[in-house]
Amino acid sequence: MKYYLTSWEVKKVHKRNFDKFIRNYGLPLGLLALVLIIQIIFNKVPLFSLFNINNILLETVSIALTALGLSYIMMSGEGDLSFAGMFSLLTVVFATFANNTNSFIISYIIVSVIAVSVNLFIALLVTRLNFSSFIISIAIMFMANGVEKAFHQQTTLIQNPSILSFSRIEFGLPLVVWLMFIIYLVSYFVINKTKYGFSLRIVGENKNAAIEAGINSNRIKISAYIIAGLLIALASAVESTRVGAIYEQGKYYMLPVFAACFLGSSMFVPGRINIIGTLVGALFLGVLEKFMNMISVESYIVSIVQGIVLIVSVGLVAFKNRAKIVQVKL
Amino acid sequence: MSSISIPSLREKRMIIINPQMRIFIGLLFVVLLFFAFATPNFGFIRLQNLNNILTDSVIPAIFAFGMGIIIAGGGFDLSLGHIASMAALIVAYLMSGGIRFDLFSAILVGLLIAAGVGSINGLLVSRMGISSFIVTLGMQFLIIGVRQLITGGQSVYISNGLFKKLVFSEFGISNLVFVLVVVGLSCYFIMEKSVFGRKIQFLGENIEASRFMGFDIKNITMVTFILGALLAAIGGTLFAARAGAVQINSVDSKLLDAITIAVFSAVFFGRFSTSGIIVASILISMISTGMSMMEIKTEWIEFMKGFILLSSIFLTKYMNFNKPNGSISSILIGKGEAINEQQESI
Repeated sequence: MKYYLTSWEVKKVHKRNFDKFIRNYGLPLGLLALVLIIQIIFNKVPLFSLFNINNILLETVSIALTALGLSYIMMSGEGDLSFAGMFSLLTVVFATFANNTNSFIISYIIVSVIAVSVNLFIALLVTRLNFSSFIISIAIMFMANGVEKAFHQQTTLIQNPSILSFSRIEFGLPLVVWLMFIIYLVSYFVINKTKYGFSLRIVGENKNAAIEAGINSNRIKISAYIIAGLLIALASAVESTRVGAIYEQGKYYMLPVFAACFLGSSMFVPGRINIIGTLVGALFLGVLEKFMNMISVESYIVSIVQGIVLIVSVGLVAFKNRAKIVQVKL
Repeated sequence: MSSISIPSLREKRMIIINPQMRIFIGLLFVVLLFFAFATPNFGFIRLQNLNNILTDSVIPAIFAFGMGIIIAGGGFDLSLGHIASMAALIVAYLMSGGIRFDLFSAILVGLLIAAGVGSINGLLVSRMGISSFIVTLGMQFLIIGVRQLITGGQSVYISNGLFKKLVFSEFGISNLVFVLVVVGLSCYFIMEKSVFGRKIQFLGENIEASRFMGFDIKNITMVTFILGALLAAIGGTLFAARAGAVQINSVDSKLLDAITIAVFSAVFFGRFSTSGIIVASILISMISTGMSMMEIKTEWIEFMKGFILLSSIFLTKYMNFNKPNGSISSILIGKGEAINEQQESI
């Protein structure tokens, strides 16, 4: 016997499909709509011209890379705020060493070593001693800010043009943008297609289940922190070569990075951090910021809008998941 | 089997001050001695300086009361410093320029607006179910934007004589200390002696159990955020009275103080302890005053505060006071065993 859907059920199925469609592609569509609106309002500004796209992508790279690192940490079930302090510190260290040694490689290696060792320290405290990762990372953030301010009072300029050219080499798109896309592609395959990515997601979803399944959850978490350290080191190198004049870079990145991750988590399965979502979220925020720069609003409007984006995106996710109070354990 | 022993009179007298507090006062004396010898001419232990330290510790303590209440209810607030800045700006702004509110209505408006911001935080946390870290992070940037929008980034000077009187020292001790006594007593009675305060603490301890007990968990969570914001606004206002002029971001950095003291006290003395917060803030202000007297840069003091925060979290692992045989005194004396079992979360 064939079962025919009643009209009411058909409507329900349609609604469900529509919901799913919005959930999966709402954010990219929103991004597209934003770009189109900008294009319509500013007819004269050539947004789609190659130079402008290059510019927007270039400005998004450091947000996107840091957000990817944060996504790894969040996928393993922890949270992190230390990047806001570490980012400023790392850019300063990079600039100082670039001026002293005139070598990109050496300064990049030093920055990576610092970032990885700090993240390893956090990871060890979190995994071995079961500390709350948020509070640990807040402490680390303030400490990094203190160290940065103690050694660095005024703007540092990177003098060496060959180091500065790192973010200006172009093959169609700038080199670092290609690098970003490749890293995202690799991350996508690692997270979605390999055993490591599968165990990372299990650890984040349900730590006890992961342990029962024979996954070494501590090792997975530590590896996520190390990857995040490498990514934030790369992001700070890109940022310092792109800007050239460094002064407290981290404070501009605290909110966009967080917002990119949570905006991305509203795609596909609400509340679950995913790689593509993070990329789209970062691009969304990059375009939004560029848009606000173009209509020359003050910088404080930018922070208002980003704050609202963060709260709204997380709110949507949390609301879909049946609101339940999330507590912080000390 | 444990036998119940009747404490002798001497032991009874020792019980009045709990073992953590005894250890902590010892720690205070160690720090005092260290700085006494480290500063030139024993300048640290001059009476004038000790008085200054007491006065300095008032405003951080009030911030920490706010943060402590929020932490006791199981939340966390990163926007506290910014709420305080905003309240200070509003109070100073209303009293100067063309508006000229009188002192009490200006303070009232400042507190009301701060409470409004706190209630938005609380609503988002309790009704929408967003993590309090994220709500307050977003709120922090919202406040940065809004206050810049209103004031245009200019600092406001305070000319009200009555307002400045808040920080005078008439009897040798600053009036701020009396404010601290009033605020501390009210916090003590609300949080430690009233049913409502016990509900807040129980909610922070176990949200599921308190839901089954029939507590109104959503509203209680919201009220903790409102109380926190109110206390932050009081702290910000006092700061404005002390400084004489309010810059747009002058109180933001007090967030670190608030977090450090509140977490330190929560770790050392249990969920919420009024006396613990006051003593911890005295310790922090002793360290920062001592370090600045040793001519160490202020940035390193900030680093030091972060370090204290980190190490106080570290201490919890090995000094678990809530369990009977794991108290700090028994570990130091060697009666009990250090508890190494895995805790659920810290």
